[in-house]
Amino acid sequence: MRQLGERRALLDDRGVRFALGEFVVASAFTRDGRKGAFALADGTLRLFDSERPEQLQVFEAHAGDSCLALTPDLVPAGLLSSGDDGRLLRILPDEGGAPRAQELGAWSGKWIEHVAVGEKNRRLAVAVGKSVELLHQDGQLLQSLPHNSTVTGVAFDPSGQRLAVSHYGGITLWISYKDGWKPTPLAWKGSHIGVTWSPSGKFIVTSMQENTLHGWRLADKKDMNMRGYPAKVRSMSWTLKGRFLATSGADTAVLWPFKAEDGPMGKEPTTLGMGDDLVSIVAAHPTQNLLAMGYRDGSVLLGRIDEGDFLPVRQPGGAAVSCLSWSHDGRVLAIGAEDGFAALLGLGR
Amino acid sequence: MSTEPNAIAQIPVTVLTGYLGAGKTTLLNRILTEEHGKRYAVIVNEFGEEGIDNDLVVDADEEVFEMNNGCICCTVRGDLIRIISGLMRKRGKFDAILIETTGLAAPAPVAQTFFMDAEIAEKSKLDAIVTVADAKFLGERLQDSPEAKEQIALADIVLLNKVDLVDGPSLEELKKRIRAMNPYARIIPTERCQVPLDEILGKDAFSLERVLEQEPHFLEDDEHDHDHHDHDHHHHEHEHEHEHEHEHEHHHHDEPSKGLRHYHDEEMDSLSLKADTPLDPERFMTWFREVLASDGPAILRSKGILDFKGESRRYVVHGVHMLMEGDFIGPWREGETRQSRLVFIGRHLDKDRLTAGFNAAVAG
Repeated sequence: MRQLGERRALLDDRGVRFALGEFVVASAFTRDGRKGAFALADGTLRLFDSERPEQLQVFEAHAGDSCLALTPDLVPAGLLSSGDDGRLLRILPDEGGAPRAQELGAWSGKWIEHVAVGEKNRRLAVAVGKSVELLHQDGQLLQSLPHNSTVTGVAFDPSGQRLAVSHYGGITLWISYKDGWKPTPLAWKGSHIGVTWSPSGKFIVTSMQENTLHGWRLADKKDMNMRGYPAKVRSMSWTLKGRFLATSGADTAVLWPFKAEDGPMGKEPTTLGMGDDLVSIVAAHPTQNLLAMGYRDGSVLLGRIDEGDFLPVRQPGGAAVSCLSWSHDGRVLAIGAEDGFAALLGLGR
Repeated sequence: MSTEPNAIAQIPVTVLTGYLGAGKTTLLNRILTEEHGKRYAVIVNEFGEEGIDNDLVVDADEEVFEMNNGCICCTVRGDLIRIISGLMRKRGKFDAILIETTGLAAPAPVAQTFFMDAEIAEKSKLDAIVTVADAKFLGERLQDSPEAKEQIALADIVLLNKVDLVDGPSLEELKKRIRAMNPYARIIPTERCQVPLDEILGKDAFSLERVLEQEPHFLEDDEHDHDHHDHDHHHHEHEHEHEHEHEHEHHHHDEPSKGLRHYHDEEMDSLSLKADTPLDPERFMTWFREVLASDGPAILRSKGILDFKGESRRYVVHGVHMLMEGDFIGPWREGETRQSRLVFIGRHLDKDRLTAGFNAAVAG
């Protein structure tokens, strides 16, 4: 593994940097690529325009409480924002020239931390305590999916007809039938703290309290264990075409191969990047074999998966990187950190 | 386990336990309303009895999770991991965290969460477990409630509340019962939880350094002070019985063997071990780890200050169930009696076996 170029980092020469003064909880771009936002622990969003990223617009989304999640909406010009005020909002950053919020749901006293969107069937899955509220994209409640313990993650499969829900003791696989969604439990002892569905639809992977990943191959429900992490895996991202599942939790990004029918079973993972601290966040590029990695020491690297080399995007310094996200065309990378540092890096040719 | 790296200050977390009606909420509201310049985030159970007036209040669900490592006593509070991680995003808004548990909640998983979860341990630290007990009803609770016993056994501080409702002899009796179960907890008798707050907050009771500072409490207090000293000359093989005698001396003078049966209805017990001859470090650590692994579910807490052969520094250990932490902390002081002391608090402790194992670790 080698580091490309000189010591200068990409953000030293290009991009826009901000000091927002609050923990940056999440960042996301609208599907149409025109707008994006950083979500902060003070309940505000800082909206930006991809074409003119120098200016951030403050938008009070979860006033007084904290933003908890921000994701691209099903509506191409929208974002979904949720917070510990118990509200799920559709944010339309540029409706008639001004941003607007539309409340899709409100659950008093609950923290809304996990929201998944089913693109094909226009569904939203919202974790509310021990329940997942399945909503139509306009916010109408279709079904409440109950679980025995608090829901820690939700993920639709590519068809939107199946939903994986992580919790204590395993996951629940919900499948859509004519008369509603029906559960199938997949048990694995321990506390599962996040879930993702492979783009192929063939695998589900959870992150666990015990610094491991657990996976299921859906064809035969075969279990997979992916171990060896020094810390909890807080971030998982599928690289282009689902070749690898890139993960945080070690001093390099750890990439598990998922192209073969048996996934990573019996295979060693690939590592990418090299730091003095642990990787806190990973974000795979949407159109190229690239991976952005954020570290706990504040550094950010951009790695080339096939070549195994990387470029520094940001030097170490400040608090842990808390979010990384790519615009859908892959031309802009949004970076946020626990101390309120944020940046937008354009990678246009 | 090494002591935590602390680039950023860890947020202190105080756990308030106690049976319903003991006065926990009174104490909580006192902490929140008194002028002390500290801002608290409060984590309460959703079935709390009374309202709490504070900016930052979060409901907990009491989700006790077993770890996938084959150890049944390695339980953590999944809800606390989530809530504390979440609170850390707004750490500028508070200085400390208070966790109020219900009277029926076992406090061990709460404490273990701070050992087991690296992220939580990095950003926060357990300050103390404060158990509020109702002096009038504690006796009954100790008979009929396993949770009440556990809350006393795990406590760093027992706030013996409503002492105005009991007479002097009953109070002394209660103190002795508490001390038999937990010899190092500080017992503070109060009325209406009137205690200076600096006696229960900012205690750092879970740091190894603090175990050392607490050392006087092993000896201190009440009527038992002199007892350890009386037995200093005894050979270590016998310390075990004498310790027992010590704990119950006012009831069974010079009947060490019967001391073992005393208060047996409480099932919760403690065992204090001492050795005046230095210990063999390897033998001790091997034995101690084995004991925690095999008896971990029964041992609620352990604490020790140890004199290792060939070592000029004191080795300090403490643990909750099978989780332990240990390190060398500072040299033995000039003129200080070098002596190893180890306390186990637990249920149905196999005292003979524990004593034999400890004695076998004495360097020969």
